[in-house]
Amino acid sequence: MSMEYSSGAPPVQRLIDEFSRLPGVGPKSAQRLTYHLIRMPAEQAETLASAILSVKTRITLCSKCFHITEDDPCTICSDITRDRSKICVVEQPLDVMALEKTSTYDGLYHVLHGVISPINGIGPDDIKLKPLVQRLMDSEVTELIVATNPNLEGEATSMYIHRLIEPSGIKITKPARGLPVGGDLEYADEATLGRAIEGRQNF
Amino acid sequence: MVRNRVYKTDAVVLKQMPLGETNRIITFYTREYGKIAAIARGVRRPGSKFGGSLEILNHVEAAFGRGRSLDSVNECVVINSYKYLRQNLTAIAQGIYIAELVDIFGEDRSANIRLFEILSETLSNLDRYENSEFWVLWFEFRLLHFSGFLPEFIDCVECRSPLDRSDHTFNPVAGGILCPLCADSDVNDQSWVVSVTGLTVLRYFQRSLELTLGQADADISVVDLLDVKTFLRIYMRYIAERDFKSTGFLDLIKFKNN
Repeated sequence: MSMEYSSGAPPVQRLIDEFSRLPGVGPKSAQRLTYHLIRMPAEQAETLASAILSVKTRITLCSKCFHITEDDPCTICSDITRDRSKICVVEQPLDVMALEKTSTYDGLYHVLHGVISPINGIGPDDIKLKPLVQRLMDSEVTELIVATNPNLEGEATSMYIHRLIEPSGIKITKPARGLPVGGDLEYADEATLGRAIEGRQNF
Repeated sequence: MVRNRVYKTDAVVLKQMPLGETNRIITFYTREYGKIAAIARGVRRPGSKFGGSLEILNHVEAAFGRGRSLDSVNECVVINSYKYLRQNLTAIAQGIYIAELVDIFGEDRSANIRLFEILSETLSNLDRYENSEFWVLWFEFRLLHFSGFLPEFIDCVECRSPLDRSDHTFNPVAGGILCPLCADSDVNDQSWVVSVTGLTVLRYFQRSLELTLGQADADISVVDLLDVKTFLRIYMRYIAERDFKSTGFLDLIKFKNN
């Protein structure tokens, strides 16, 4: 049986319905967010509304790396100090942000906007793979870092990319797999621990 | 009868679906309860207690807690993660394909131990990566058998007369092969012809149902298996009344291999 929450006024119900459509927001959370907005000062609500609008009207995809950007090419692709011999392939724009936070990678990116997922009927043509191949043909890239998620679909995607790019002679690498910093060895699962041992390094 | 709030069973992870920020709905095929969907809370967090144990195609021992709508995964230990299968793109595509078949043909909360056993056995065979094409077809054939959809290949399904060694008409509605006499009077436009080569392998499969086949039995040329593959694919699509999502990628990988 579906639960309905009576809001008392149509605009309030409309906002609750809109919030409910967001990922991870259920009807109760949507109701809480709506009543929080009602109590919010009008200027703050306007700032939020204009931020949402500007994301939709001003944000586009970079024509080179497919990262989300306000200007095309994006700030990373147009930064002349970055190392153009390396491209890091990631699944989503959020992965670029996570890697940028590490401050250890100074190359370029390529966002696939998905992953090969046979069980969901998503194949290589449904993600930004063809533009990657084209980009590699037109550039002086010497290393491709395939940073897809370490799960079955991410691994399948990385293997497919490896198969596709290997004949070009470009060096293909992937991030090390292993134990999380601050984690306990005894709680690590066999697959993670096994890969950590396989990928051990000299002191 | 009072049901335990917590239950434990062997299971193979068939698929996953994100739920909220950090959770996933995991679909398992279990030895004792058939197909089960359960919530794994916090599984997407880097420090999750589940780690990589709930990866698709893992054979696990899992403890579930009963919930009002969906059960939840309380604990999960890996029995076999099929390490070598995961290092081969073709084997991954084949593994995902058989997981999709089990997801379609397996019934919710209805145990089918033989189906569970052929699933884990086929994953082990794919992990060794020898004659993988054969093991997938042998799995498909037994999946039809243990799901109650196996057609008749040895005698005519209409008049029960023995079939001779030639091309024959297959009638999916009757559920088997027709002899030339019955085929002449068959007005079903869904029938199709199965080649001698294909029928030879299908009959070999039917006679071997109670046997455990080993690597030596699986050494059949891929060319001889082509007709069987086409037959089983069309017939399973007919039974399932839908296309299979994972076949596109599987066929693409095989095409690139050749």
